[in-house]
Amino acid sequence: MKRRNFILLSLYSGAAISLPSFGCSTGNSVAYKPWMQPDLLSHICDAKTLKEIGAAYMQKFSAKNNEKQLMDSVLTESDNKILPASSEDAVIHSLLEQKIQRDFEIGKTVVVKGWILSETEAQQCALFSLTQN
Amino acid sequence: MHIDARTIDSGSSIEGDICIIGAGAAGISMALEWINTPYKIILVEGGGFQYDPDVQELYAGKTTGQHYYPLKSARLHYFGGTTGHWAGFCSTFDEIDFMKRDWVPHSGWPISRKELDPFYARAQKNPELGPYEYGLAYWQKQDPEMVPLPFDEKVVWNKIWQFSPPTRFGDKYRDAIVKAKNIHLYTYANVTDIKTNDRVSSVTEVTVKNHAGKTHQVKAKYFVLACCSIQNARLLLAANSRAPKGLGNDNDNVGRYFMEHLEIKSAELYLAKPNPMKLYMLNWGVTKARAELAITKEKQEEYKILNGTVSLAPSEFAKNMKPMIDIWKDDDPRRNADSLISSLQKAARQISRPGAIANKDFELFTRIEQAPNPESRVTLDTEKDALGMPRATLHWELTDFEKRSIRKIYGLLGQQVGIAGVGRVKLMEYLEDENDHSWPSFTGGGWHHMGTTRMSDDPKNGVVDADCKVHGISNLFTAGASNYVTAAAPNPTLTLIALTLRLSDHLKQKISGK
Repeated sequence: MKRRNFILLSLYSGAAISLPSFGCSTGNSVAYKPWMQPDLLSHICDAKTLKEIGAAYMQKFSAKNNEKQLMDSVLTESDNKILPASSEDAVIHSLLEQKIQRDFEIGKTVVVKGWILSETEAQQCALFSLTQN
Repeated sequence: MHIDARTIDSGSSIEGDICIIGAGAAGISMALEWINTPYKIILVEGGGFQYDPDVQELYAGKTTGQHYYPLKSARLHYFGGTTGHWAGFCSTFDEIDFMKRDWVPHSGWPISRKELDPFYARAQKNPELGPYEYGLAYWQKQDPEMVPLPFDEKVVWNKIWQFSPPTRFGDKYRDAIVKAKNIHLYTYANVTDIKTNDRVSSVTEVTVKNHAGKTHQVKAKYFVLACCSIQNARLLLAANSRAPKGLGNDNDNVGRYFMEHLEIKSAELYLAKPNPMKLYMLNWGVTKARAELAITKEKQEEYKILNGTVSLAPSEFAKNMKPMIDIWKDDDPRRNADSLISSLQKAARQISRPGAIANKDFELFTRIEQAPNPESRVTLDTEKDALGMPRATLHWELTDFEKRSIRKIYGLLGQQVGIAGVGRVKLMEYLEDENDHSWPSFTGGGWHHMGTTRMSDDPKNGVVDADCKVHGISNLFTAGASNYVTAAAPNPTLTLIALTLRLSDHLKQKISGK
């Protein structure tokens, strides 16, 4: 059952922005974490679209279609260390914001269902979609 | 002075110094340059001052290849030409458009942008544009609310466009032309043949006809074809009594390299925060200038892509607009214009209430040059029109180069939007698969006909030289977009006026012996 709440983040564009959170509470193969939801994209797309992007990403890049691979990839830092998924949300958000920015800067982008996305945020969508099963 | 060629005795011999064939933006711009000179200018126009279905019918022709507008309604055939319904979009070609680009086959003009600059400045006047200012800084000074998107200027830049009211050349310049004592305007004077000396080295006279059954001859020292790309090629190809392949066609270049601008909706820009995007918006009849997003010369070279620009429109408006190729499908240009206006009004109604535009979602619309392609061409049909001229046939042929370029332009734009953190870009479905080389049903052109008598210093590669003179024929020139070697992204009118003014100066030098 879907639950919508709103969390305040101060990570996007340096300003406090209310981020629509589309998390699920129970019954999913992957437990929902707020950081699985890409910040900026969540201001543009609804949960259904994020889920569709995630599913399409996994179909298109089948090598990265399970939770472990996605989680490792999303949480890998620039020095190739993997940030523990249990880290504080703010720490993970900060990492992801930097990674997404960096992805765009170096052209590490993917086209999924027409969306030109950073690979990291596409993988966030994939993780998000797994929480919605 | 105005003479209706239907009213004078058939077989009349008309003589002047210069014969300008066609009274559209090019022909009228040239004639205006010669007012009050000591030279007698014969300006021959196939139509009259108003739309005439019989005259318009002379433009009918078949099309093959990429689906295109009906030829009959793609241009207007009366005094003023297609400015009778043009939208007035104007911008200059970029420096790179004139350059030889090793990744664009058949590119490279024999003139540079710098050589055309003074003529661009002069060309602003006829379409009643603003100052010769196409830099962002100038327009921002006029309106500080024109704020550009925060993109890396080494990748994406803001190309400024200006808007003509739009000037209807026929209405605006009719009096000036008719009252000029040395300009002899002949209406209902359709050129159907170009006659040369035995050696086919100079034109001696042209034959004009009309539906009243009158045939006349026009003799002049110089002849300027200013009938638009399709008709210029048609006339040269049909003038085959002494040159079996047509005039200027020894190297089989006449009619080839026909180019259009691909104008096609391509993506959407979704913003995280509302932004009215004033710099990029067009308010018809109000906006004097706006910007479109363009890819820098360096990035075009790096990615080996064509030159194109991206315009923005609120999605709430754009999603209610039918594609032009679906609107402009009648043989009668008046009915098409009605359909277009109706579609625009319908879309405008959707956004008329306050708050109807959220300023968060914008359609991204591509305007891109077509790569010069010898197989994209105008030829003669076996069928003839009412005046006995073979009809034109257009084979419009696109390649994967255009599509790959569009895809890359949006890749770069999507990347810049991501870096700037302002939103995301979503491609339309037809651009998603890199292996999909097909074009969607809504692919259209801008009614911009270019090429067909392309410019080159080498007769093997072009029809006219850098002075717009047909190779091998001493006194025959072409004016208009048929001379273009490449199409650039902007609508062709401003550049064709600039080129025409340049040609006019050249002819003044020649005729005066200076």
